[in-house]
Amino acid sequence: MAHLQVQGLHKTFDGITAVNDLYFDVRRNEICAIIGPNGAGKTTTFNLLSGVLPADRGKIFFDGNEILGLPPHDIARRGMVRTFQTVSLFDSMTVLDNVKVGCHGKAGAGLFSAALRTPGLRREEKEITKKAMEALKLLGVADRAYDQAGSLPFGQQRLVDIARALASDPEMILLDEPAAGLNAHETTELASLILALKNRGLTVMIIEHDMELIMEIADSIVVLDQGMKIACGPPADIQKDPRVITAYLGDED
Amino acid sequence: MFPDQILQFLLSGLTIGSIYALIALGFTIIYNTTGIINFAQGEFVMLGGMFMVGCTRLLHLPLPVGMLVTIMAVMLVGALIERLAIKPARNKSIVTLIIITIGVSIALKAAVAFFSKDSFTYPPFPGPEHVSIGNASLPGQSLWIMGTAGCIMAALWLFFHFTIRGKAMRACAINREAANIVGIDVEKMSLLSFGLSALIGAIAGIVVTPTTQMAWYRGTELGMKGFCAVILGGLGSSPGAVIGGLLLGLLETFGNYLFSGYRDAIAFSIFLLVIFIRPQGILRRK
Repeated sequence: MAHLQVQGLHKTFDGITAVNDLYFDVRRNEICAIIGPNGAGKTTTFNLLSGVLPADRGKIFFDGNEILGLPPHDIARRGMVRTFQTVSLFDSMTVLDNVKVGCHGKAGAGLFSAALRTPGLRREEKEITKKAMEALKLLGVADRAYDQAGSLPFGQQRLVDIARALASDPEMILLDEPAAGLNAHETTELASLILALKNRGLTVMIIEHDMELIMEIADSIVVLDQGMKIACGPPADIQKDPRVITAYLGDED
Repeated sequence: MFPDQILQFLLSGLTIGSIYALIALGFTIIYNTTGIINFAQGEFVMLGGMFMVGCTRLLHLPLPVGMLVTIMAVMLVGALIERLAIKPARNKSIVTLIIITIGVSIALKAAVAFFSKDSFTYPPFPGPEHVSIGNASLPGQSLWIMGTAGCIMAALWLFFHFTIRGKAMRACAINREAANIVGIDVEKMSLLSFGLSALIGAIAGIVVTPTTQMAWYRGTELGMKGFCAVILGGLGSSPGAVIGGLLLGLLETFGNYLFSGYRDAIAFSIFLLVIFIRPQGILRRK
């Protein structure tokens, strides 16, 4: 069974169709890219998947369970996390605290044990700290753990953002233009990082304009244009697809 | 003004300022977590005092038991307000939600006035009746007020900086959408913020009542003073709430010496001055 099934997903804003009757599947443990020109509905699709926006109609199955209509925090706890185009860290908190808060959803201790800092809670805090540090190490930013998140250079903020999403042990991560604003060197590192996530068993969905990056790492590609799926398949097929070339370069006639 | 008098006013000002600071912290916690300015905050203080009157004078409960019952009861009221009045309107505009809190405040006042329109008090907590510091004399209850306020501030600081739940609440305050997307249940945090603010308000009411009188209408005035303190310190800043509260208490007390009888006018003049000159408050950058 596909890890994620999108069936007839539809969303309009004031009469303008942003996502038009979209169907696609994402297999477990693959890297699936969503590409398309600006305004194709890529980010809207992510917003619908992660529960940030309500859909007009359609169905989304994650791990076989319908998740459309659930609040974002619930979807995150079920194992689907995401990052945004614009990095949205908690600027005035430390890098480590940012990532720890990402594990909060799984933390079980109630208000009173939190107020009293019971031994169970201390153990939990320790575990969360350990997990958060692991995520930061994986992203190569562990040395910045005790710095204020807002003080980091942009490229590192993006890595912390991904670390925060990973800290809750998700099964699937949605990355919205993770290479935007990164230099060539950082982009190469990002590519190997995304492959590392795949090797750890995660399913990755990625929106990206950097075609070189996509062709290098993606297992399958969904091409959107004006909210509609115009093609999907492995990178080699997509590169040759005349409809994709038309959508990107315009009609030659 | 003699040095002794200055010390005396300083201590009285800090006492009432501690109460304002606690009320201001209550405002700040709810504002930071939900974006709402809760105009029923003063009512939590009034309810704290009135429930305590009921517990000690009516039910004759021992002091610690009475406090516990009062705190639980006011927290329950806070939680009910959030669930019954705020949550159902959560997708309405913030202004709507703020007006709802004004309605809640009026309803709470009416509910208490329904039982009694009288003013009540109860004896100060155990300890010396008066404490002399230099040539200034301070009621023993003032020490309870300042000590309790100090403990609550320390406890809040520990909660927000050293527990994962407190950090999650801070995360909500910084960026609600991002908090939601990383798995924080923003609605639960909203409930938690109302419970916590009610708790702080109740404690403020419990400790302040022996130095004054508590009655159904007192919450509004206390709430407005707390709100002045919030604006003075800077909306959304916890250290600002504390500093704003203490400063307001001092300015009021000294001002009352210079212009006797204009205590409230002084507080609201300061409020207007801050709004005109430095609307972001003392501790907030623009």
